[in-house]
Amino acid sequence: MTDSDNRQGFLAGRLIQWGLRPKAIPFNEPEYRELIDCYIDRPQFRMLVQDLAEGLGLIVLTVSDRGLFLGTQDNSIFALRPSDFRSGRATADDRLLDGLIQVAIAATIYPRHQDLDDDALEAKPPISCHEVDELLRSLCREYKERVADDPDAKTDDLERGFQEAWRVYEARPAARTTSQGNLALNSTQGLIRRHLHQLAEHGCFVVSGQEPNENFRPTLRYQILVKQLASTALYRQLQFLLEAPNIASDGPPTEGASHA
Amino acid sequence: MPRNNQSNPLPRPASWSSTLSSRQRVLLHAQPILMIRQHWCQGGGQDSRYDPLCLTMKLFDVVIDQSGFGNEVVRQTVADALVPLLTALDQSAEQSADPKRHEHVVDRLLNGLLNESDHGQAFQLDYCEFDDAGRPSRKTFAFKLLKEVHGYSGEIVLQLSSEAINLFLNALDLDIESEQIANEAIVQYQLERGKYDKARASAENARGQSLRYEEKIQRIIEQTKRDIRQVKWRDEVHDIVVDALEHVRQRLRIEDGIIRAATDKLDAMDESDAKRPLVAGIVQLMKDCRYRHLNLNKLLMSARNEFLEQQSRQCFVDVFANEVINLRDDVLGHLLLLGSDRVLALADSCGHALLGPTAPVLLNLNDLIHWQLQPRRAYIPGESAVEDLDLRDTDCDRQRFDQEVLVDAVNVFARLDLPLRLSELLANLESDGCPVAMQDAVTLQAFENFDPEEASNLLPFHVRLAEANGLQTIRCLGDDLWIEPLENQS
Repeated sequence: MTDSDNRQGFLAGRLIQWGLRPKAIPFNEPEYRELIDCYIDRPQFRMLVQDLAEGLGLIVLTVSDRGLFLGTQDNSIFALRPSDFRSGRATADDRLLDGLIQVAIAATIYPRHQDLDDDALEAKPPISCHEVDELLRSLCREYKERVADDPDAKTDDLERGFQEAWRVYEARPAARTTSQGNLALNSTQGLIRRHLHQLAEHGCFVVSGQEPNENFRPTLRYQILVKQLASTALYRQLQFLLEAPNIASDGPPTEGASHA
Repeated sequence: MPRNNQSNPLPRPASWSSTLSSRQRVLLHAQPILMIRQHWCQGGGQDSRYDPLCLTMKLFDVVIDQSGFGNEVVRQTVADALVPLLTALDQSAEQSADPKRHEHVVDRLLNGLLNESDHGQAFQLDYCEFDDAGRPSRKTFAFKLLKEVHGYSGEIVLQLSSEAINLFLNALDLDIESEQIANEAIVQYQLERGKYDKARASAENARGQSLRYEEKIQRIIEQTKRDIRQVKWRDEVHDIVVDALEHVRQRLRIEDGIIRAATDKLDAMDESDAKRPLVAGIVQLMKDCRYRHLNLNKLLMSARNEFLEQQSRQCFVDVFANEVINLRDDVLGHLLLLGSDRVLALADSCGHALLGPTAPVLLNLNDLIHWQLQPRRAYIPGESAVEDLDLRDTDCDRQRFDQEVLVDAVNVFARLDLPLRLSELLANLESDGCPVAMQDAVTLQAFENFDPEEASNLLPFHVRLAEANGLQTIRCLGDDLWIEPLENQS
């Protein structure tokens, strides 16, 4: 290995480090900008960065003058899970709600397939906790009406934790306030708010306004994640679950794994 | 009796051409703006004195004029340009200018043009057309006027859609190149005849069209970078690039001619000639046009290499986003119907895709040991010695909390109307989802009242021992206390 190779490896590592800083943008960082130019102009450097990222369990989603946008492979050391946003221990229902809320946030921003076709650069309008909650509750209402003749969950299912996800969501109150007037965490809107704030800390949303009129605008990073990785990963995994009804945990290789 | 062949004539098929359909679409572009105008006028409120039509035209002008080549137009840029117009409209209505109202009007106008009422989606308007057999059919035309995009600087910036640029330049169904060449000819003609105002207007129009051309090529290249399969390079783009290169070559020649003619005119004018600034403005404008075309030329020269490079980059890449996915109905809807165990499995396996990577924090033992073993800071002569403070004087317990948290904690006690144990109060706060800092502040204030250091710190409640070592929460162990509002002590 030559000195030049070592230097290239160092620069590739630097670029990935910049990509892992969610709030850094090339516009403000000359070194980041230079490394992005290298990535775009030099195929060898590009291959090196992609190999390095893959070895780390990362996926290079997009590289442009707006930055290096990374996703995670399954079981990557860099991967977060929705339930990681909880500080303490979580019950199965809590973790279920965490997962549903994350999907619902993405679905509120991209409800239709045409929305996913839009240019990722096009900024999506801000959303509120109420909108995300209302999306989930409208679907819950629809399912509740469908089972109007036999509305109650089977006791066996309840005991084994097999009841449908919509029943779990519907059972939680939409909005409860604390004695200070904030949304309580044992309400679904309070939980949505916490997830949106955590996403904002990870550079996925920008918060504006004050509670109860808080708005959350998705950043380019979040839009790229949903468009280029999450929507397909979720869809494929869901299709696998629907086609193989007895398999719950062993899914197909998702995006991260297939890309490796 | 002769039969009357004219009594039941066969109906003639409706005659229609595609040009008529495209002209309808041109007209439809103006409808959202006219609808905004109608709403403002119908409202009859204070906003009715601001005509959104003229404000929209100014807004389009600002966005076209100030976009491109590293410049970005944000909401504030638009507000700065519109406020003088709003102030003038206030004056003509004999009203005082109100900055808050102006801000509201600018936001209202932008929200209307962005179609915020429909979450920023494209405007969708119906129109009618006829097929070859003369049968009518209704179609929906979807388009955007103004878009918000993520800018280079990380800010949300405003960008006009191609349709809006076309609408503004009144050139929707005209060939861009012939229009531009015609414009240059017009500018030269007007200069020769001393019609400077008109010459300037024509030159501004030409500059706007240059921007449109640049955006078109830029979009193709961007699309190629994203997914080369979406671009018909061999059939369409190659021809566009070749034509555009020829077009740029011609335009540079024409613009050079205009600059030369205008400079000659300028040289021939007296220093005191009132028309001199107008001609100088045209020279500046044409130089700006030439600058834009040189940049466009650079873009075009790199286009072919860009295509080849993207081809080599993308040919072995698994493209993820190639399925038609409706996140609401196809993903979230199905998830809600699944059993909890399976949704959990999916959230655990794919949830990370929605959150992005986060770097794990590693313990640096070396740093930790250095920090722990760092020697006492050396005394440097000349520095004034700091007096040792008693820990009590620092009020360090309270310093930990924001003032807001302390005030909220006082409010918790103020709301008590019956005696309550501290352990019960903390349990209630925990179940309400109250932040831990707030719970700690409540505990601190309860203990401060139990054993006050200063009488002035006392809050309006009384505290007495309830049970020794009776307080056992995750965050606090010790004696449990009764907290009694003062009015209940009797």
